[in-house]
Amino acid sequence: MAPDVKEAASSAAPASLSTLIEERALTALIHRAARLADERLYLDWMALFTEDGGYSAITFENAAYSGLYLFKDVGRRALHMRAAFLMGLWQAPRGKTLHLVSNIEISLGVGGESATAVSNFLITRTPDMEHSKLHACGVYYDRFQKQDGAWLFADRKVVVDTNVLPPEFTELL
Amino acid sequence: MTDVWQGNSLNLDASRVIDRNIYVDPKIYAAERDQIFAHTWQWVAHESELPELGDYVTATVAGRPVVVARGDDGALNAFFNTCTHRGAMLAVHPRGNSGGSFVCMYHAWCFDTEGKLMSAPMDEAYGDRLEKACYDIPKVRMETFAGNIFISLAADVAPLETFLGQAGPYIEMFTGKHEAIGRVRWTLDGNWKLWHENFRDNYHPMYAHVAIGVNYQGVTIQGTNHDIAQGHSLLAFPAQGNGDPNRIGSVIRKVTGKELGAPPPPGPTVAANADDNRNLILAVFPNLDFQHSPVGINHNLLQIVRPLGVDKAMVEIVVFGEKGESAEVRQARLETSLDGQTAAGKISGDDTEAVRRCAGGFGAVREVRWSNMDRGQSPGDDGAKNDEYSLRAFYVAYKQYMGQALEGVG
Repeated sequence: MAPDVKEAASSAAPASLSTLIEERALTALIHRAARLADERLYLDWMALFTEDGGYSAITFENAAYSGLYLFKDVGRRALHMRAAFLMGLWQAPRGKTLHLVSNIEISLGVGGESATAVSNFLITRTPDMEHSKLHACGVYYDRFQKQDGAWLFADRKVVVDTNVLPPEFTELL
Repeated sequence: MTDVWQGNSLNLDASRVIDRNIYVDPKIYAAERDQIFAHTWQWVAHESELPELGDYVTATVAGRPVVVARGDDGALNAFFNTCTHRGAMLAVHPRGNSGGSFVCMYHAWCFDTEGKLMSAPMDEAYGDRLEKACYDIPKVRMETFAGNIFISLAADVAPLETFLGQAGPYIEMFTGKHEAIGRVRWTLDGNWKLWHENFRDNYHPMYAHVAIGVNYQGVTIQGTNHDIAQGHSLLAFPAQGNGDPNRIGSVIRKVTGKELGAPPPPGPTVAANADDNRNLILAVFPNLDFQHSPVGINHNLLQIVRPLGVDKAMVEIVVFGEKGESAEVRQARLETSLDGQTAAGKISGDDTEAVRRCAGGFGAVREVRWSNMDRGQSPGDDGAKNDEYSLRAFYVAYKQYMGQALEGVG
């Protein structure tokens, strides 16, 4: 039997306006990180993290088995190093990326100063003189902290769905 | 007998050049599968990756699908990963647990962890002509060394320890008291040899890897490069730097326009091996490499490159931790071991790109046929860190295995 949409809607508790505002702000932050990565504004991307914020990636297999990370940057200095590699220390060339983020589920913490989110991502990459290709997909596990009234990433853990990385995998995920 | 690469246009001895056709010729690749990959010991897994009864790993060697499984008696068995009924692969995951038997998904023929046929459904239809012993899966020759599981498709390959030769004691040091703590794989857009050569080549790091180059500026490079026979080689060098902690900071500032912050407090450390506290890169013919770094938490890594075709390969990296190490050290190992490694790594990201660019450059193989491998002029098997004794060691063995297959190429 099909669910009674009208009944379900009327029985759901209305979300408070402040909750909606916070969720909207956090969704915008997630989208902003995607946009800055695609526009290669790596220092601006870095500024979306707290001073001690973390950014890490792990394959699906190792997330399930052992916990062996591809990389784990902790703190502004480590993020700055990553930005520098993206801006020229890597000789591996940048491709044009497109980040799509969806299925965002946000949980606000008690007190309104912290939150978590889980979302799915899909990234295409377009090298010079080649067609666009699926580069990566997976799940973002985010932790947020509110500082001076603005939300920042306290931690982003990227679990990539593939267990075999493509040859060019130095882009921001 | 005249070396097949004699008479090259670089006017060098044949042992000091590489014919680029070996990276692009499908006939050479086919010969490599038959004459090298089917006639050497091939690393498959570390025993610590199969701790439980029924655990298995799969691999493809020279085109043959193979499964290694731990049986009810705790022993390891290697056999071909194919149902003897109609051919379907029995295990399709890189690793898993069989539950004590392998049941074919197609017609449910069931094999034990040694590959012996246990049952076939509705077998009365075969009358009395189904001789089960005829359907046991052929075993694959397997030996272990320092916890590493190797297989060989050929019976005439020397015993594993003999095959490893002088590489053996180093492998014992890297993995003998260790356990594998994870693997990562990535593909290469290029021939498999390009990756293995990269390990034997210590001329490139200070140029291909900007962060390493910065560290070496103004430094007299120390370290050695050895042909240790049978196609194996060793690079050994101390941890070196120019002693200026601000140098990387100045490069970062130049690139990003921002000051790099102060470094975090140092993480945990593990005492280096008292007998040998050098950085070591061990290359085992034809496609296996080990890296050992005594810095920090004493890293031990293994990489194996397997061809997927003449112009495609897959690299697997395995990280090792010491058995019984503290939770703090293990966590640090899980978080930091791969920072420079894999296609996502701050070092290997560039190496992977170098493979891609070489493969692209080989498009001009008809016009530019020869690569130089001439660094290091001292006689013998040993030279400076960025000499090429190690590379030449590979190609001495390569030519022996390939024999006449290299004639008439190009």
